[in-house]
Amino acid sequence: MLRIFSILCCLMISLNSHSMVTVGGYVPFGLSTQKDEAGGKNTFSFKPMIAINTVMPIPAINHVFLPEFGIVAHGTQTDEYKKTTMFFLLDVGYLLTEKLLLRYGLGTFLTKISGDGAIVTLPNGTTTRGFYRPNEGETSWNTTLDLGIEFAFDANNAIRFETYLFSWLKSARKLSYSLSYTYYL
Amino acid sequence: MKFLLTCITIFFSTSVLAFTLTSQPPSKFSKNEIVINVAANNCAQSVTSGELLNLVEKAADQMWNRVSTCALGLTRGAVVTQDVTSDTIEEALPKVPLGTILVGCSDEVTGSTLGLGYNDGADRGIVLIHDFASSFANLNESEKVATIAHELGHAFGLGHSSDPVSLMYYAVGGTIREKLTLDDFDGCTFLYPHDSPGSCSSVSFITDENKPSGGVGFFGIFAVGLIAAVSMGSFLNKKRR
Repeated sequence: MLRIFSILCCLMISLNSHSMVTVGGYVPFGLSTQKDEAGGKNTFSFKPMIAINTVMPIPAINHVFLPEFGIVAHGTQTDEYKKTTMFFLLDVGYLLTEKLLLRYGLGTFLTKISGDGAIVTLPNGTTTRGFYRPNEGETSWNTTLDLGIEFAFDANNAIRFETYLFSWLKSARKLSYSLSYTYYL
Repeated sequence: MKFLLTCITIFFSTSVLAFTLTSQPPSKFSKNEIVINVAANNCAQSVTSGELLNLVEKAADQMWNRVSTCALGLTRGAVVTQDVTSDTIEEALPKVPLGTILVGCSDEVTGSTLGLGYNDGADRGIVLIHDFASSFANLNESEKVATIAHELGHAFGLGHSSDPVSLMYYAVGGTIREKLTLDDFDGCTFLYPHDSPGSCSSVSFITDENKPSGGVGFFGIFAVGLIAAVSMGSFLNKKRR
């Protein structure tokens, strides 16, 4: 994944368009998942993310094309599991005002989960038994509908809030969102 | 610097990944769509078969069917003729049609256990509710739904989690479990991931297992070539200007 990220990074910078770097936090399914035993939700459980993107004007429809590629590091508490989310967004943007940009489009999210394959002994009823951590990686692909807003402080700095609707054609539709800072190179 | 680090620590949170599998390689269904049937024998102490089927549907729809990154689809079946009243897991499993999960009440589940769930890796799963555990009969509806959802997790291949908040934690007492945790999401996603949109049976991704040894491979050569071409184009454009 890191190899793909670095290659795309080189590509986007070498395109010599208005490239950008985005850093921020991503909350996967924050309103739909439980965080504690009292039933609290993961509303503000931000995971660090970094993304590269570029701006390409589409004068014919008064929009800008905003392709973006990013990685979310889930920062697992142990080394036994690894989880990475990679995303590729094909958003377009419309300038609502001089400083406010409305973004919308489609995205692809890849969630990769892997483990070390070890046996763990856990309680099972009144006794214990061995369970297995995953010993290989699996990647799940999701297409998302994206909607976001970006506020530009000046020519180089902007802050963005964006939502990503997963499984939007099914009853399992869930919302993830990100809050990020973008620096225009 | 300390302030910045403190801010980062407060802003960002780590993930708890603690899900496990019942076996290695994982015992799971070969298809993502699984029908759940309920055994005809009523649960003498708690619910009728019809009520149990409604609880099973709620457990599926409110919990596992809501994981966007997981392709698993649990669908409501019917009350079927099988009787598991006096069955152990081993006795009940042969009664389960392939590609389905059978849920029923049994007085062979003993002790303080509320229920048992199991997948034998032969494309079938079983959930036995402890009919004579007064604690199951005394649970409120959301607790019954959570208990059944936990056992359904075992029936499609998940083991226990060491995360005390997770639905797949071994004990449910004193905890509100109305939603899954990210750990439950990850477990379901690992077992039943969504395929890539353009997946093709003759093409597979390069993994650590099938990675060719040595060299950068086709992808590396293609990427280097692409970068070189784009850079050259950019350089020539600047020269022309």
